[in-house]
Amino acid sequence: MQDTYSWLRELADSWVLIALFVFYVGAIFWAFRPGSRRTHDEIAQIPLRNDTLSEREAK
Amino acid sequence: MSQTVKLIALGLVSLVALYAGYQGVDLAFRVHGILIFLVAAGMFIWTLRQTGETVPVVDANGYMDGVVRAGVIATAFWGVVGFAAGVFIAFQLAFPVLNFDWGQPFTNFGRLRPLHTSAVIFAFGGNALIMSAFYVVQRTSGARLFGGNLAWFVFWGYQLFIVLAATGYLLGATQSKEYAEPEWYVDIWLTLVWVAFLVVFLGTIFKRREKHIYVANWFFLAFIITVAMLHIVNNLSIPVTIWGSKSVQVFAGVQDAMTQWWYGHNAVGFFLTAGFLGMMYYFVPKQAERPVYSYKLSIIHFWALIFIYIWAGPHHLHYTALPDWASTLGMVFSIVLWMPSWGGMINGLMTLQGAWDKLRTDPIIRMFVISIAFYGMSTFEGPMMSIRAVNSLSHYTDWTIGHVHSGALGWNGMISFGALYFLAPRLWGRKEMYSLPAINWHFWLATIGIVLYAASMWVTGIMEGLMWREVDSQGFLVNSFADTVSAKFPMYVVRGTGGLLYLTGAIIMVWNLWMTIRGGERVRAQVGVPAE
Repeated sequence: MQDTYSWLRELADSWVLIALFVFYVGAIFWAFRPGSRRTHDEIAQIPLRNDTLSEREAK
Repeated sequence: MSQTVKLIALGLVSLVALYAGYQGVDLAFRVHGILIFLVAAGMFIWTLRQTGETVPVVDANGYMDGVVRAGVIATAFWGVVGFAAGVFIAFQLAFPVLNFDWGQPFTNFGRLRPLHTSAVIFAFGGNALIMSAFYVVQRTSGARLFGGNLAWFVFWGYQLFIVLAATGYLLGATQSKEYAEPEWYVDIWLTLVWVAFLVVFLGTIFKRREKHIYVANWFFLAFIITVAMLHIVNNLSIPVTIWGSKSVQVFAGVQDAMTQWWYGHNAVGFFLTAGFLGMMYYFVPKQAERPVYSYKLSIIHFWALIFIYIWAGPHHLHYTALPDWASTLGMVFSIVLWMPSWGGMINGLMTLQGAWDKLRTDPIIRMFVISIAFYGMSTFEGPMMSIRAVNSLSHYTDWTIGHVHSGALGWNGMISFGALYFLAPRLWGRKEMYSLPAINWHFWLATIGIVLYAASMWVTGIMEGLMWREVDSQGFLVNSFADTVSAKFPMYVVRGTGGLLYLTGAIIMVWNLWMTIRGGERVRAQVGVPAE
């Protein structure tokens, strides 16, 4: 029982911590990747359309 | 064929529930057995009568809004129920005679308090979230809800969960975990409903016709998945008998406490924050008619919130058997959390850039703005209170209650009201709400109500914290607990009054929604409001 705890504790404060941190920092860098502005501007417009389903199909 | 399967299933459920109602070992379980029997038998008869009838063809080309309409009604209804319960128990604390000797044990504070918290968080807040998630995911995906009537199962299944939970508390069935009081069989039912919710939501995202998944949906998805995880882990328990409501927790001692507050704080983080941020990222841009201030910031807001919130729970267990490193971890992450929270607040507020004039003319925008302002305020106060030294003064006092309510009434309540005012005219095909001045009345009653509530709780909380720790020159405690209780009386009355104002505002909203839905006389034009 004690061993499971020590093993998990060690895993958590080493590899898992690194993995989570890398993912987190990676996600932020990904948001700032070159060329993302145009994509983000496009996505930000989504709520302002699609008020009805047929409106979309008419296009 | 499916009709036959449905009838067999409903018949079996009715029989088992009836047996449970007859054989149950405690009152709550028997009442629930009979309740489930009535629901299942009613559905059995209804299904039987439908057999052989031609099924009306559902127009599957438009959005599925029926279930959102039902959600609007349910949100408004449970809101008033939950606020009324809150006002009543607030006055019970000021005037203990309101516990009613003749109504014991059903009418005492201990049983009504979880009824209030569950009614406002899960019934009012939960219905607001389910309704907005269903509305927003369709609009931002350009697709009809996935799964047909499964969305209706989610809606009605969730209402059944609320009724089972609320009646259970009154009848004494509770596993004594804050915000997770319902007993094992109610937990299992909620798990089923929640999985169906996830299927409907994810299915709609999968069949979307937009290339990207809009940020609001990321927040809704995080809310649904995380709440499922929290709910399952925190409710791991073994029933004493399957014919009774009592169960025993799998975890014990400090592990149980840590699991409970890992759940409890992430219920705040993912139910009351992530889910409602999903609402913010859709309704605020929509009402302001401009895209969100910074989409990049919204992405960072999302990932930072997800990665940080999950660690903040241990700050509920300062000065307990929990190891110091764990409570320090919780405290540090709570303070780090301040930044993404304020990033999100700035993102919401700045969406109004170039449209600030709407704040004068559009009472719905004002509702959203004050809601985001309260989000900012309570996410500043929270990290501060999580600091161990501050917590040693604030913990167990009414300061905590004040903090929770500035978040719940201010942020969650106001944004839900804004969403209801946004949705009702659109869903029932009206030009706008029946009465804009009534929205203004609601706004001011609610705002003044929150100010009275929060201010009185700050005063009384800090006062009782100081009284509890006051020692004389000999090192003896100066005040008894009862001294603090009598000193708190005036603030309790002010708090109850604040709640009463908030409730009055909600009742005005219900009237306004009713008149809008009924399609009565319309107000001529947007009523301009003079600058204050």
